[in-house]
Amino acid sequence: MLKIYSLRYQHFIFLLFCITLSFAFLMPDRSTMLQQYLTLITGQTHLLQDSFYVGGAGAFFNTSTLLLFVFLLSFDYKEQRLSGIQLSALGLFIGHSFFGLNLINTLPIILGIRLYAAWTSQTFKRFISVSLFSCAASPLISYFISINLNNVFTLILAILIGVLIGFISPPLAEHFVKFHQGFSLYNFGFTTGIITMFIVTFFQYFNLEIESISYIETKFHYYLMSYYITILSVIAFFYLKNHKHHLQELRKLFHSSGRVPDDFFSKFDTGTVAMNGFVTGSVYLCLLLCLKIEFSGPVLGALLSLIGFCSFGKHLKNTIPTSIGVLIAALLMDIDLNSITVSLPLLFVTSLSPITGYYGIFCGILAGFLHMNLVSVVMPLHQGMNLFNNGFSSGFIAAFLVPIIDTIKENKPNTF
Amino acid sequence: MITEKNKSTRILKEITGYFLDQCLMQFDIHFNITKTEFELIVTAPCKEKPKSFDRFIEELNVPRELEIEEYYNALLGSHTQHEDYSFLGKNIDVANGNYENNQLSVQIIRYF
Repeated sequence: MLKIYSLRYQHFIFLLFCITLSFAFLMPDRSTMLQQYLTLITGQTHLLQDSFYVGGAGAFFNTSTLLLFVFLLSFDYKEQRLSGIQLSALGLFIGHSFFGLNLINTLPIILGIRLYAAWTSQTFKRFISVSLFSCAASPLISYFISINLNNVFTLILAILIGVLIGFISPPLAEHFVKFHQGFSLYNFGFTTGIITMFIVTFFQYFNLEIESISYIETKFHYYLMSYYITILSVIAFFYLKNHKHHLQELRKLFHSSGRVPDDFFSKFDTGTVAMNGFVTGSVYLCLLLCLKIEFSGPVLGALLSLIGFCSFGKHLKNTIPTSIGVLIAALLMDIDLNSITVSLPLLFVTSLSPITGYYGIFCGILAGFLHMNLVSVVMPLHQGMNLFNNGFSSGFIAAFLVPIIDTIKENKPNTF
Repeated sequence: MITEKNKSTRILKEITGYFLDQCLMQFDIHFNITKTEFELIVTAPCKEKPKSFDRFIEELNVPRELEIEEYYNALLGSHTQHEDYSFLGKNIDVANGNYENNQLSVQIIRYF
């Protein structure tokens, strides 16, 4: 049996690249893979635009190119082991490659961050994870590229907008984290939501309109589920050698509130963090199957984001109550529990898991309930140009709820 | 963007917050910023060593993480009870704690 116990970050990414590329070549539509990929990278992307709508092989190929890109980006990283923020950024970035991200619409943003690092005389290594987080605004770059591929002006405009977004993202994100006090894990979702909201307000001056799109593809359900199970298996194979010890440590990990920055790698060994990802990822897989939610690009992406953040704040004890809150709201709204309007908030609401971890189960359920009500309200603000819409919503929820709970607790400490 | 003066005041707030949480209301502060480092020493008279002190020093000695300190800089200084200090630990290079002759002292060094 292979005795690699702790893969380095780069090796882990390369392994994911190989697995993803293999799936691309296993898809039934692999004969048109490159054509699908070209359609993906040159077309408009949108919050609810499933990459698998274009084609299964092309979608996996797109993700594998992004994995290779991350591998090259972090090639000089001197860290000997994975860290929570790296893994969470990777999970979010790769997860959204299945609905919105591609190489063309992410590079300008990362270039912008690189310029910001140079301008502030800081090493770019500080911003590698931030670069991955900031690509939430990629649909804006795709929007301008897709207007007219043969027009150099729109291509330059797309690049400039991407660079601008990348340049202003780090300082804004640093300040916005105080708005929700670290109780929303998807801080960049909130930051990018604000940025894209301001940018789309200027579209009216140029008679630009964004078409509302919703393309969800579930015909590759079994392939996507197999891919997800493969990822879970990789985690189990490489990291769960001493599972009895890890399960014991996992009970201690469940006491972590998850409020950022709660890097589990700094308090627990790699195997325990991997066990957390494996257990949480498996339970949510079972939850989706029970609710008969079919796998699509966004659903797969949400699950990968969830696993990524199991090293940086999330665990079963603080995520489940928030998801219960979403389900309660959906039942009261009389929405089909297996629709995309429920499945995405169900998974992404886990951004508010620190509220459960800090204030208790009831507050977590309440946060989830409010999130389900707000998430569709905030989307028109950025018109689908922010891929982390649930992160945008959860920022507001955390900022609204936390001061109220704190005030109540000060007067009634035993209430929660 | 981090400025070292801004960071130093946030670190000071976190350390003095710990002392106040232990009900140590009188303490002396040595605060020194040079071109290459920031040093902070806080000393307080203390009848009994706090039970949390060893764990506090242990958390301050976690390895420094550049990505974390940049991105979450705004949260430093907003410490509350029941939270660990490992985030503060990721922002500093050296942390020493000592309890001797009814004096509790903490030394912090951050290199630029």
